[in-house]
Amino acid sequence: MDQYELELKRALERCGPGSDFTARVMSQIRSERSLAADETSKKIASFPRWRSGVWRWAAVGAVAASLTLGFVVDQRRSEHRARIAEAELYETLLLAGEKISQARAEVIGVRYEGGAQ
Amino acid sequence: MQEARASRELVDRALRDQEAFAEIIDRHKAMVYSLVYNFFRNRTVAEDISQDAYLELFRNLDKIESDNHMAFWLRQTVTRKCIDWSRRQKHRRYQPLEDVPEPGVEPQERDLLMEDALAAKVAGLPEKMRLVLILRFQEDLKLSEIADTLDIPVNTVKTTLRRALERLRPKVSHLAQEVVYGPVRA
Repeated sequence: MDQYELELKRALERCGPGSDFTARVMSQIRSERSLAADETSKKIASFPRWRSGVWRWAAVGAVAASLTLGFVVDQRRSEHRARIAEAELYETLLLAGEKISQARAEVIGVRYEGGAQ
Repeated sequence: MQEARASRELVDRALRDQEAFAEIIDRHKAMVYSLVYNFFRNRTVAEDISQDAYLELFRNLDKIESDNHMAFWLRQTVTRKCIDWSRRQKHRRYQPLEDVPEPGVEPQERDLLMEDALAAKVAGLPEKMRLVLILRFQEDLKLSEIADTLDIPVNTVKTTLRRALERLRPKVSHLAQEVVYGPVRA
């Protein structure tokens, strides 16, 4: 290192800030922290009730219960409709059976009459 | 090893206890402040930027691994802030009231010692040259450390340093004449 570089080194020697520098930084940190804490508490205060844990679970429960109830009611309705359809089918089959036996009897009657002649 | 553990402990303590952070400030404040002061030669700006750097350190304290890492982090943050601030000021000239000379009073620079005048000349160099010189002569950093701090190749640091020294050398002899014989008038 030559004379010129030594001079440069001396010229750029470290120096310190004002004596209250640390205190000022700390007070700024404290005020920033308290500001952040205030904002957090404001956020908590303005947080909608339904978004808190209990209310959220209550909402989920209500939705699940209504879905289950809907499903049960729908199933009952389907069963009822199936029973009606079954009864109608049975009745139809009975009527068809009756008609078939009636027709069969008529056919037999016609054949019998034809044979007698 | 023991020192590294102690510095890690200090960082951990500072995360819980604000007073421990004051200890961290005291430990590095001369380095941080001088980097900015030698860059701008302005005490108000130096204090503002240093404060800002410490606030940023406080917000990122959980990322700091050791005292060396903290010094590196601070140097890097401060140099970036210096460049940002300097670029912002190119659009908006800023001079705090206390730094404005009284009307009719000769600029203070002529009354200062050689070193002060030289430091002022350093402050007049382009940003990158200034930072390389400050990190080299104020912080005694190796070229590789300067390269890491400024995130530039070592060869660029070498070239920048050489050019900065070449630029300043004639000014130094001129200054020497000024200090000995008074201001040289062209």
